Amino acid sequence: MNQFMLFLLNANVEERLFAMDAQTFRQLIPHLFNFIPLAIFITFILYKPVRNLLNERAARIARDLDEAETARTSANELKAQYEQRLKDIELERSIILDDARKLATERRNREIAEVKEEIAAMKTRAQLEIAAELAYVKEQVEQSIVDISTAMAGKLLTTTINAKAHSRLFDEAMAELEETIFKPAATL
Amino acid sequence: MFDANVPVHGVITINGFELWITNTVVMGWVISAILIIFALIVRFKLKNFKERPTGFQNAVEMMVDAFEGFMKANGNPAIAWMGGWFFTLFTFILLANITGIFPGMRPPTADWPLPLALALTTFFFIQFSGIRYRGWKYVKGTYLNPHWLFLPVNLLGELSRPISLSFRMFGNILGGLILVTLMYQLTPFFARFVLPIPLHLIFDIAFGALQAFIFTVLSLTFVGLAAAES
Repeated sequence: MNQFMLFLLNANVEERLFAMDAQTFRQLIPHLFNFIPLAIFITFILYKPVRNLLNERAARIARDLDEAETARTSANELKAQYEQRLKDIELERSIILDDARKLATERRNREIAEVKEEIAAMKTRAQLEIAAELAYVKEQVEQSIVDISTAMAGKLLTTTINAKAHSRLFDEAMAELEETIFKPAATL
Repeated sequence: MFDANVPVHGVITINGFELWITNTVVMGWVISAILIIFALIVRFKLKNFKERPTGFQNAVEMMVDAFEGFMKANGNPAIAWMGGWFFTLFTFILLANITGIFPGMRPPTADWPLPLALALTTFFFIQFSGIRYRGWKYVKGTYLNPHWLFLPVNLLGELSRPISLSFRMFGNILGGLILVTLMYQLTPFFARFVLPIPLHLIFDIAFGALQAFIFTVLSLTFVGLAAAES
C-alpha cells in the first residue's frame, strides 16, 4: 500500500486538469476496456447469483405463504364443519332430551295411574274385608248378646223360678232327654 | 503534494499511438480489483448463505435487493436484465467518488475521460435498447422526427446526453476536489488533520454518493425510455 501511495505521489504530474485533446479521447480506451469486462464479471459472478438466490427465496416464501393460506382456509372450513356438527349434536341432544323427558313423563304418569289403580283396588279389597269383619264382628256381638241374654235369662230364671216349677222343668227336660237318647238311630 | 491535476504515471506507445497511463486509469484498475475481490468473496460464500441472513450475507443481500427495488421503481421492466450493468455502474462510481477521502488519492471521476467513458456505455445502451425493443420506430421517432432534415439536430441532441451526463459528474467531483485541495494548501500543517474533514464528508461522501445515484438514475431512465413504447 505504501509503495502504491509512493507510486501515485511520485508520478510525473502533467499540468492538466481538463483538456479536449486527442489524449483525452484516447483515455477512453483503457477505461472502456476496464469497465466493460468488470461489469460483465460483476453481473455474472455477484449480481445474478445473489439476485437468483433472493428470487428463489422470495418464491419459496411466497409458496409457503400460499400453503399457509390454503391450510388456514381448510382449517377454517374444518372449524366451520365442526361447529356445524356441534350445533347439530346440540340440536340432536336437545331433541333426545325432550323425547326422554316426554317418555319419562308418560311413564311416570302411567305408573302413577297404575299405582293409583292398585291403591284403589287395595282400598276396595280392604273395605270389603272391613265390611266382612264388621259383619262377622256384628254376628259375634249378636251371638255374644244372645249368649249373655240367655245366661242372664237363665240366671234370672234360676232366681225367680220356685221349687215346683223347677221340678216341672226338670221333669220336662229329663223327658226330652230321654226321648232324644232312646230314640232309634234312624230317627236321629 | 496536494495538487488537483491528473498525474501521469507512464506512457505506452504502440506504432506511434501514444497512450498515457494516468492516475485515473490506475485508480480505475484499483477500484475494479476491489470490486472483483468483493465479487469473488461473495461468490465463494454464496454456497454457505443461510435462509436467515446475518452479517456479511445480510449486507450483500440488502445491497442487491435494494438495487433490484431501485431498478423496479425507476426503470422499465423490459430492461431488468441490465440490472447487473447498472449495479456495477453505481458501485464503481460510488467507490471512485469516495476515494477522495484518502489523502493523496485523487477521485478518478474528477478526470473527464472516465465519466465520459461511463456515459458512452449508457449512450450505447440507450441506442441498443431503443433499436432492440422499438426497432425502426425508435430510429424514426428519435432521429428523423419530425422530418429527416432534422437528423443533424436530433443527432446532436442525442449526443448531448452522454456529454451532459459526464460533465455533470465530472464538474461536481472536480469542484469538490479543488475546494478540498485549496483547503489543504491554505491551512497550516497542524490544521490539515481537522479542517478538511467536513469538506471530505460533504464533497467526497455526500456529493459522491449523490452523483453516483444521479448518474445511475439518469442512465436507467434514458435506457428505460428508449425501450418504452412511445
